[in-house]
Amino acid sequence: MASYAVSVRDGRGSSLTEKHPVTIAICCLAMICAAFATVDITAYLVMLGMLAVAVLVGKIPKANIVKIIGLVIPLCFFITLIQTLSQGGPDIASYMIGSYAIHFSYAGVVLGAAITLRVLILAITMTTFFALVSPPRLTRALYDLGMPFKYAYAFTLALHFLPLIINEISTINNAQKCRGYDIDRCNFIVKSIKIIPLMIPLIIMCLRRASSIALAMDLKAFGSITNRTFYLELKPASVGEKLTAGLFVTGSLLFIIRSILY
Amino acid sequence: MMETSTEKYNLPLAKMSINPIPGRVDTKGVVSSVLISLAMIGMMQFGERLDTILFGGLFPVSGRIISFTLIGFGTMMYGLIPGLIVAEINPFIGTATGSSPIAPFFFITNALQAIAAIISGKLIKNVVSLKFCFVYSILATVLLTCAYIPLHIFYFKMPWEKLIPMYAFQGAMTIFIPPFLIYGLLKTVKSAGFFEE
Repeated sequence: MASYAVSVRDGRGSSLTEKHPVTIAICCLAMICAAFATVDITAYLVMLGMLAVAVLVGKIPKANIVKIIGLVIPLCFFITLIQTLSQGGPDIASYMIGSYAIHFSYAGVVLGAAITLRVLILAITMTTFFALVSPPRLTRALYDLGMPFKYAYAFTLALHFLPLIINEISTINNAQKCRGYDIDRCNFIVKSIKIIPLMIPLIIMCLRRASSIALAMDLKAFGSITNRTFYLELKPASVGEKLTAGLFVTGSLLFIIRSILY
Repeated sequence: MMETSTEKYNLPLAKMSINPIPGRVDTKGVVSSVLISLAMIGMMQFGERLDTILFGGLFPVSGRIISFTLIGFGTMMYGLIPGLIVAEINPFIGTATGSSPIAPFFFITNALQAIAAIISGKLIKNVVSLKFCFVYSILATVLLTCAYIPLHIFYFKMPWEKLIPMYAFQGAMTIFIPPFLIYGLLKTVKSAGFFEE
């Protein structure tokens, strides 16, 4: 997580990152709607191909994509298992456990595979969006769309302070270790219960820090001028960008219409 | 000369000292909510791992306990808008870093928790009470279950009737554990001198 904040701060650029955030948002939303409207594996593979192109052209860190795939695997295993056990139709295998028969359905496996691809498309699309649109550009776009700057800036603020809070957790953890409370030696089940002694000092620390940050921001007259000026200027979407967004929307609508008709 | 008007706030807002909608929207309210949300992200590292190992992240239990606690706390302390900031930054970072495959859905489910805290505040005025915390947890659990059923049916194409035991387990955990955590947290924050009553 902290590495994401650092990579955003460093500003890894590509031709796609310079596109207007609203155009990228429209394309991503169209892709998600299309993925929702179908359970066709071929269509999903085409969408994944398009995303792969976006990942390559957009120079999105491969580690992020690999991480998503790693996270999707246990989820999809669980979904596919439930589908395989609950769907009807011909079996691919059946076992007897005592007097109870367990059937693994072929239709369940196919549906599970389709859902796996759907989950992957959604996860990769959203990650691609946030990788292509840096928080300052997103803040600017949200401001242009009419969101008050104070709220739009919250996301950028979060990214600035994320490494700080991660360090804070590590400090509190070390302090608790010095007192004999070692959460790192617990197994993962006990660990999730034992986080309370980390949570309370962290919240107190956050509230204390928030007071000083807010005071510092107020002293610099944060939010007192309604019509802001920006260092960052967004180029208006070109005709090509508008055309691409239109194509994505049309494609998505076709998928939705097809799912309604058939 | 520039004139600024400063509103006076009492904390926690859900005690109805001022209108919790929109809540505390000055710089301190926004910054505090951002930092609470970051604390939630940090704590989620422990919770989400367990959920991923047990149910592949499909039925978040420990993650939900943490989110109930901290979104409820943020909303109770600062009102609806800061509560929504606490709620929405977690999916934003989760989606951007790819820490959870169903993070995009947390935009909806986390917002529902902030709304549940506001509704509970309308029903029970004293926020630093176990009764309030229980009402919030029950309401949030009901809202979240209603939101998850369409997700499981339409998105994951799951047979919902076979998921009832999972919903029951998830509901039992989220109704009985978070109230004690929120109450304890509010009491600690109060004794640490952060309440401005």
